[in-house]
Amino acid sequence: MHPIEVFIKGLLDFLRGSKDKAIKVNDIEAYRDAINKIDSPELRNSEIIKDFKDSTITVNKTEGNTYNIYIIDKDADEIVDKLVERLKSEKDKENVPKVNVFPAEEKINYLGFKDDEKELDKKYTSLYAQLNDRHKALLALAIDITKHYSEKQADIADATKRSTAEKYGDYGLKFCNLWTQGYLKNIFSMLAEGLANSNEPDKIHIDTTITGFINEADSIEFAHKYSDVVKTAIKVNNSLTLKKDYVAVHGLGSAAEKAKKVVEKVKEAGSEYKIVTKDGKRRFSKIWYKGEHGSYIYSLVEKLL
Amino acid sequence: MAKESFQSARWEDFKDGELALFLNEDTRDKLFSKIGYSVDKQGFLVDDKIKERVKINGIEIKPSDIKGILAGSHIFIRNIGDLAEVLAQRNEIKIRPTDKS
Repeated sequence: MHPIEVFIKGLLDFLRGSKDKAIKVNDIEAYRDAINKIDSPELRNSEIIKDFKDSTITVNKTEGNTYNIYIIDKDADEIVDKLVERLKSEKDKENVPKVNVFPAEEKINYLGFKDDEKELDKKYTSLYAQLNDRHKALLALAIDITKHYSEKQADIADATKRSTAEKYGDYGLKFCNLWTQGYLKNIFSMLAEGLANSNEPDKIHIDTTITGFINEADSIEFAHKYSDVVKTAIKVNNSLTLKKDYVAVHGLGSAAEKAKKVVEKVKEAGSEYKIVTKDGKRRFSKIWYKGEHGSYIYSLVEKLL
Repeated sequence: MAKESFQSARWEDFKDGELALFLNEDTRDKLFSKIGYSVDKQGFLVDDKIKERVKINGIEIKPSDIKGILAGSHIFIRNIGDLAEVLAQRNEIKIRPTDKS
């Protein structure tokens, strides 16, 4: 290598941060696996080198007549040209053969989200059919996030949460957190029961009840990887100073420690509050509640703590 | 999910099926241009046929904002939230009732 190239390489390494080791991956599945684990201890500070010389195209035939085609580089031009013809033919038509295009290097598996079934307690399925599109989408995202947390894929769960917040703002984030933590499941149970006992579903009542609860839950804080401990503690302290009926801090998985740090900075609450602390292995909660309304919200989550 | 992989795919092997492409960013951007989209001076994606900027929920987008194209009618998505919404609107979210609470 020419000395100038050596110098530039050294400079680039310095600017990028030097890597301890290099991981060579030979196909897209291995590459996706490595990207998904990039923050894990075994791959941290590693450089992932793509070596797809013998694997410009990989096709996975799934059940039915669906093909997942991984196209890595320009050597796949012939196939791409055929696909272009097909995509062009789709542009002006509806209900044409399906082509979906997703990025190969994302943590989130878009096709998996699209094709995998979302498991939902059967007592909620009638209710699901009555939700508006926004709540249906948020429920699908919330189920997906919960699944990733339970499978210890916190990085994918966090990425999905960030994406949900980009699309649906604080409301969407709160929806997912309240579902994961169990509050919304109880609201759903109540609505499902009402639905079973009524002759005609009242979609407006269902949507306004869910929206009302989420908007009302402004003093429930969910710690996450990127939470600012001081800011979150200030919000909790403000809620306690304002004597809100129900104030809570929750942390799930790696965020449990973050939630504990928030609680350490929370001042002593008034004597009118009942206080509950649950410190589990991968879950931490502290709740302050008072009065009839506070007791009602506590009842929604009590059994799940 | 049953999987079958092979290195040198032939178009005939899958031309009639439903396809999902996984592209890196460079290849994806090239694909955009080949199927009738360009980028204007401000960097926004333009539909060459109607000479208008592509919008997602009223927001003009740059190629780097796009995380995927959905089947039929070239529906662009920026994130998994967009995908969830499109699936909800099409009633294509797959729900499996379970006994789990």
